[in-house]
Amino acid sequence: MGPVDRDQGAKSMAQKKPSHYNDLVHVIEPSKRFNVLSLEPYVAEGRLAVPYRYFPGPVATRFFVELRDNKRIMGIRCPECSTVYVPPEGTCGRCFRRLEEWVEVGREGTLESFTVPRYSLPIHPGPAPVAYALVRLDGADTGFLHLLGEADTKGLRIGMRVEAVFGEERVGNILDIRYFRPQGS
Amino acid sequence: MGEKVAIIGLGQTDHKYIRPDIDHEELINQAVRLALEDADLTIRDIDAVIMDNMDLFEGHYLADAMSVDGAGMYMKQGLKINTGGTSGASAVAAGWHHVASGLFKKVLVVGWQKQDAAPSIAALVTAREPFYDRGMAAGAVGIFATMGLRYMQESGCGEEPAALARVIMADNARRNPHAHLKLNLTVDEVLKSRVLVWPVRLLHMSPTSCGACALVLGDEASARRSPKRPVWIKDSVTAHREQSVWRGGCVEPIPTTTALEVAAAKLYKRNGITNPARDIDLWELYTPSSWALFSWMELYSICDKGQAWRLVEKEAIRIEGEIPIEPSGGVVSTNPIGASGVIRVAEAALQLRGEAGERQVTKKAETAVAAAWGACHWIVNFLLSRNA
Amino acid sequence: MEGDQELLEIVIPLDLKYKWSAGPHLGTFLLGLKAGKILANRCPSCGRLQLPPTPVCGRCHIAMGQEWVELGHRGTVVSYSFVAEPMYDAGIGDMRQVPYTIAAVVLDGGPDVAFFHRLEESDPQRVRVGMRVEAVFKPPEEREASMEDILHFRTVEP
Repeated sequence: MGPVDRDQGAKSMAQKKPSHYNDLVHVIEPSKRFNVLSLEPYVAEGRLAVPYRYFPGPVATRFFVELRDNKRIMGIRCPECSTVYVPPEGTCGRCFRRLEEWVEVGREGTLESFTVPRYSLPIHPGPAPVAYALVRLDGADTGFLHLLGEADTKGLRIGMRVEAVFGEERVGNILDIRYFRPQGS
Repeated sequence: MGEKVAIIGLGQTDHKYIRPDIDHEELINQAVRLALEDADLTIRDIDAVIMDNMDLFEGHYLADAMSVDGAGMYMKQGLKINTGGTSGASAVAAGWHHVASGLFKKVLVVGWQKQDAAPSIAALVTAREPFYDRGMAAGAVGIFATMGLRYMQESGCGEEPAALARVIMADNARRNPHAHLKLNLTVDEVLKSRVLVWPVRLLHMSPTSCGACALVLGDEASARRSPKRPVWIKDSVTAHREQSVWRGGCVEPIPTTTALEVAAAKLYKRNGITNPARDIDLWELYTPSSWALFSWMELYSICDKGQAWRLVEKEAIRIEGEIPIEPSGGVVSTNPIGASGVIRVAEAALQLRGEAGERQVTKKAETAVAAAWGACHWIVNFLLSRNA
Repeated sequence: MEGDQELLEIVIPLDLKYKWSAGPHLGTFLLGLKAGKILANRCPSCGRLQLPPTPVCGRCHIAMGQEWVELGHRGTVVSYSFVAEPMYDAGIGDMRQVPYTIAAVVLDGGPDVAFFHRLEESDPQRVRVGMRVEAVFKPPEEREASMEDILHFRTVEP
């Protein structure tokens, strides 16, 4: 199994009509309001659980749909500074220009940076060690945050060549790419 | 009061219940582009960007950091503000301070909310104290029910004036292309709508909306170069009640003073306003419920205590009336909360420019009061004028 | 969205746990509930009560002393909200049971503060400003030092 076994419950749904929020409540486990840890001093554990749903907008939607349907990674180019953004954005921050020119980038790239937490936190996508990667795909001008898998976490080097590993089942979110694997591994 | 400050550009999106077609950054970008276009400026002309948004509605901490590119904030100074329902107005006030200080010449203010991301109550409940309040808290409706009940008892007014107030707002909203709810209502339909907490009915309450609104504020030199008629921010006053209202709801059973009357009195005193109904030509107040309108009108000294409902009955608050209130259709028609405070100022500015189209007030409009109110009993008032 | 570009909706639930300290004043109040008492504290300067108790007087901005006042279990309804609309509750991760009525009750012995809680009466036609109500506590062994230690307020005089 790859490093990702907890995808934080991100569920990407293709809809004809948006859900009503009350229908999304089922993704949350109900519980008591408080778990009292001590009475004197009074300390209790409580919770904030919200089934947020996002509409990614036309640019991000295209990006995710291409991952899901075609295993293609798409970037978008600024007409003024020519920066190819991956993942794609709606506006180039530097030039304040709307972005419309789509560019397919490779499934391979260079490891620009990485970090390997060797302790576990609930927000990590898997048990430690988890390797986060900043990958600049061939054709892109920006680094793309993702995970490394099938890798010796002690043998990582900036500049290593890596390639995307897609999942068999893809739903239209960033983890349709399960991880990036060092080439030649 | 520092450098003179004018509104030299404005823009807002069309406000809707749900925007599945775009993400929040796109929404913000639309309003920003419209405001820059209106001001005939580019983002490079802007010295600082103030953004406001009510936290947690979209599940973003540091929502400004997530919208930098679309908001034009890249490499610029600025702030992100959240003061509840008054967020938009607090952002405009902060923008005003930036320019009035003389340190910034042109400031962009953008307010937004995308309330389709989660039930708004989920975010609102986090404003309540966890142990004391969260099990009970039920949102703002109760506040207006209390207001309405008390007003009816003290003034002798029946249910019809609040229903008429709602109808007037709907009539105004239909003339506003950006408004969210553009209902065609009769007093009867309002009176028949479902009771939430008597006397408040479903139709008396504002909707949840997705929308953004942006303003460009400029100093005197910028205002002189502006293609549009500048609308001057003459003054702004903020006040809020000292009690941490979110411990136990209404801590004082009968509140003795309201932040609203304190802020209004200060605004009037500082600006020589002795007869608000005569000295101010139009009011973009912030009434999230038709039942708040009467108390608000009286606290702003637009009329004597107990008389507001009669003025509404006479339809004096209409676009064609002598005391036009919320010609935009108001918060009860459109409420993307983070944007709402900015919208009040933008709508008042449109009126003073004479550009409000079908919703332009009939009387000659030189001065306006624009305000925002928050359920934490926070009020922000602005005095706007065509004259510097 | 143009043409037949599909609508993507991404659900990313946020489920955060928090550990909260009530502090000595609210803590005393919550322990008071466990003991069947509704406690407020009184400002040593203006004499006003704070409910729930706080460390500082909201008006005088001075530290509240150690004067604790036990309020009566009976009181008068000064306002109420009838909640009928289905409502999601982020603190329990579920829809809240509706309908229910909450009220601000001025308790005997505490004329300048109001206590916020549920009414037993769930028919809004039978609730009136001015009606007398009484706190109904859970049996002592079921109390957990929380607002839920009071089940609701029952109508004493309609």
